[in-house]
Amino acid sequence: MLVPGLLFYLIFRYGPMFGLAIAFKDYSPFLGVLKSPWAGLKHFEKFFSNADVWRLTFNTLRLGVLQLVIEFPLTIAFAVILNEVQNMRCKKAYQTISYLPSFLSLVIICSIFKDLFSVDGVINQMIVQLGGNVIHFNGDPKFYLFIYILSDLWGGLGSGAIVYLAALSGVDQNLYEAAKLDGCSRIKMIRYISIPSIMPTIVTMFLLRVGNIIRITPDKTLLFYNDLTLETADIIGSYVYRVGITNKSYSFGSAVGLLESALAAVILIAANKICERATGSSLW
Amino acid sequence: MFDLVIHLILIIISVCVAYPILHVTAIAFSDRYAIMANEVSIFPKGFTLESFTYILEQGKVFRAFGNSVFYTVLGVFINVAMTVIMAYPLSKTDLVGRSVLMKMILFTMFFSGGTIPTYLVVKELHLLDTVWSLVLPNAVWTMDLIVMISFYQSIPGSLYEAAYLDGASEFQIVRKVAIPLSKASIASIALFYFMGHWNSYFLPMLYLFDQKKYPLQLVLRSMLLESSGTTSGASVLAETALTPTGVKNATIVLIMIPVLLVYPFAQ
Amino acid sequence: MRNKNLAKVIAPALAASLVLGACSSADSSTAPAKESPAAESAESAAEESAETENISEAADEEGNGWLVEEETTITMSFGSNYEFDENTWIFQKIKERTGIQVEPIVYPSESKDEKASAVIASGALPDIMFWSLSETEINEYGEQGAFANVLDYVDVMPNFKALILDDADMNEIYQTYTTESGKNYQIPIYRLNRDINHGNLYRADVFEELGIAPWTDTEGFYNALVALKEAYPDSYPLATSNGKKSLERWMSEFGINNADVAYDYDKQEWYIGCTSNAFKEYLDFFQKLYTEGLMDPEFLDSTVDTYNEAFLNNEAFVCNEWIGRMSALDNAAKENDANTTFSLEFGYPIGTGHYEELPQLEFWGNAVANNENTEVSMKLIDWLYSDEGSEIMTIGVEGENFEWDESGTAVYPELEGSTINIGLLEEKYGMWIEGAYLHPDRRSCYFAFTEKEQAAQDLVKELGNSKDNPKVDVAAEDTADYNLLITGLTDELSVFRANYITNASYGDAQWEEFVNKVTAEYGEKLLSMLNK
Repeated sequence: MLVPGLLFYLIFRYGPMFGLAIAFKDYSPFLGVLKSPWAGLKHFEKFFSNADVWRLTFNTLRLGVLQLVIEFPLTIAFAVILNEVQNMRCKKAYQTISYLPSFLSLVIICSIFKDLFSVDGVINQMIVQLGGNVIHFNGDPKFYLFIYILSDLWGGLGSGAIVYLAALSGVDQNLYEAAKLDGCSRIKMIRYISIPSIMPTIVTMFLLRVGNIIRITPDKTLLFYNDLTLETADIIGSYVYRVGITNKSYSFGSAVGLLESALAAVILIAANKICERATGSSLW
Repeated sequence: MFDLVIHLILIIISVCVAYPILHVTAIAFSDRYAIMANEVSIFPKGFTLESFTYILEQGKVFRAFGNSVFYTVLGVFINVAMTVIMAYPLSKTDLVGRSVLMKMILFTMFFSGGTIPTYLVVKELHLLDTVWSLVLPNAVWTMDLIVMISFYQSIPGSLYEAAYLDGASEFQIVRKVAIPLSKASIASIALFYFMGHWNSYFLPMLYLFDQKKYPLQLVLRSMLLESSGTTSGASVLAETALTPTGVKNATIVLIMIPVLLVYPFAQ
Repeated sequence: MRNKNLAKVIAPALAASLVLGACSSADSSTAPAKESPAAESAESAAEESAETENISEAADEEGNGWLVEEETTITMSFGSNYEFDENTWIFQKIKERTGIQVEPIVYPSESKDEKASAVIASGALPDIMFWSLSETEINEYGEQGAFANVLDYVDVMPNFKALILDDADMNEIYQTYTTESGKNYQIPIYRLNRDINHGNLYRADVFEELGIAPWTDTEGFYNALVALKEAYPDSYPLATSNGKKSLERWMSEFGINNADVAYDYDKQEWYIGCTSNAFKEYLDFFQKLYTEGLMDPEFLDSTVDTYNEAFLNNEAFVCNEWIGRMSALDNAAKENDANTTFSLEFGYPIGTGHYEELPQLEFWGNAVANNENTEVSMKLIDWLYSDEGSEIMTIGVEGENFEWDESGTAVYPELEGSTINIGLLEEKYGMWIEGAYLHPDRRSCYFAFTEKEQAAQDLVKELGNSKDNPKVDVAAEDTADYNLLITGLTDELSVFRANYITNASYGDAQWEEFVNKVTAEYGEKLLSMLNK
């Protein structure tokens, strides 16, 4: 039964793996992977020779960890809350509305948020109403992470919750019935039934996400940052992008990508071990 | 009391989420001057369908829409079938070589050859410029596979045992036991795959050459650039004064509509 | 030569609006005869007869004016958002006139670079690629054998030779792209640019109303903004649609053509632009504007939408933008209120008093593949440089899809009712394929200016332009390091510039620190690579 699936992985995922060599060569699309000259660790060295490489790594990790620590629990909480709604029609309505932002492209989301936090945007208008001074959110490094994560939440709560909602729907209703008979409060039911029942899902999702604290795609960063917030906002991916503008080098991008992936894999392996010890579930 | 709090929280979240969406939709229905002067909030000002007619007047939009529907339906079907068929065996902890297989699969989540090597593989298989290049190379998303596996693992083993005792074959078990029980998770991954195909731009851009095969995203984006002044669109628009923002938002609304129709079913 | 990114933005911005060819006689260009219409037609007549010579030569052999003996197919790739196939009007014409059947391969404009790279990697190189790669990539792959050395084919390219190689100035520019091995793979676009595309624009009606004289220098500019702020205290008179780009254009007005590495034509050496006194002057000026509330506080995040809104709501009155915005906004304002006095006009540069010149030759990533079809491809390229190719690619075929009217403008009967611009021509006839209009005909709609735009062109010709950098020439083995340093330097100066302008407390001390840091970290290394 596994045959078609494994075939797929072999052909389309392992087939192109020869491309990993690109990181170690001076790749030219014309010469191809085989004929491009070897470059050894040159590109890796180049990456580390950049004076800011540690700041970039720090920024990336900081963003990744914040994302994990803030967004992950909140998504679960949202799913749980949604699950508690008794009225089916209300529930569907909330769920549909929360999912709407997934239709918007990143560009739109970023322009919405920049607009929201601009000096004459809605947020500042409220601040002024309450007697405060206008804050330049968009140009202030202190608020950059806040806005970034807020936009993540805004766009991701709905879609992130889907998996947990599906898991929650599979929980045996009898458990709730029994608990009700025992006089359990709703909150207690959440704590002792809902969450433990979906713990395997939570662990799985956590492990799937944990590797990404270092592998952040720069699309959002590139749209959100500006010269004033650059030093706080710049992550590995956005730096590689800027380098690529003046000097398009597949090899350089590939090398950095390889570094990120390796680090992410290491993090995952560690996390998997910890989860195994702590909760008994793991990915392999 | 508890219910009240729940509803309150959800309403606040819903309003926060819905406001910008309504704003975007309102712009799509507003007239160009109002948009330029930023007078639109959540209701259209100077209600007009001109942004939409501008887009729909182009015949290629309908063809692209049909293409998108075809790719998405075919894609999701293959995706779900492949994912389910892989997840079931892998969920059995007693499977021979499971640990090795899982590690191999997870490895691909981190390390991949890259865009161009994958393109080369697709080319060697003569899949370029065909619908198969859009649905085969990403037939399974490892992330969704893992989710599916964890779902199957949560199905009590006793149900399987009962089926074995009845003399059922593995395939029958999948059909009659596993799938019905995991409808919710199948629906979720189907939705993810659906969104992935419907919104995809990069892969069709890369693999397709025949402009008649372009899906909706590709066509709409090309119209955006047309109308935003990167070529001569700007002067056309200067005369007709159709602000790109209106058209841009109309494309979003157009892309949204089919998904809005599908989503409730997925629930 | 600017980096490709800037060209990518300018090029599309160029490709808009209606522009009229240079008709004024007093001209600072090196070939004075070229500008006046009489001389121009004389020149083209001369060229034409040279070409007809070639054609009649060929005609003697083939009897139909074709460039090839029998019909040949050439694959041609380019980026476009419109649909093409072998029977698109332009390709029919090409087949008719040259005997070459073009098989088009179209990439979506937005992602043509990635697509082109994938196609090259797969080994399926098209015979001709237009607007697909950067010049550096072309040179790189060319050296590896992908592309043909244009200089080897000069014998079959008389028009190219006449336009570019035989013209001293053009040739000088062209040869800067020749590789160390003496080969040149580039196929540039000849004289695409008008005299000016961007400049300082202002609300002429508001200026008149408030009795402000349009500025002619920096001081006047400042005073105008102050007066505007007084009259409209809630406004920020100076707005941008893309803060960074506007800042860079103002930088060139202050005499710094590139903030990273700039060339001093007097001293004949390179220097680091952002360490010059001109840069400090520029920073101080904009810091003043920002601190006094004369400039949009969120200029770094501004977009076309915020810009439009500001101008249409009397929240801004001055900007540095693409000249087409004059008609765009004028029309938008009239839409809303037919009696409005809204009027944008083109103003003087500030700083040193010059706008920067636009390149005579544009290098947009055109190249011919090195294969069995190379000679035929080169002939087709040459045809595109010829007068016949130039007219067909950018205006059309007289009597077939256009007619001349009394004022010398091309009129298109089939497109009556629509505004003629190059996008429409591309959509309907396949003309103006990006990168393929190697020799735009000056009578085409692209050079048809509105009155205000013509005024802009005239003003700029009067003032003269400042010179752009020559092409950077760094040894091949240094290129990678050089580019990394440039990226680092650009980041550093962008951050400093933004902080200096927005922060009134920045002054001489921070400036000293910045200059020292930049010189130590980047300056010495970069200049040693350039000033060898």
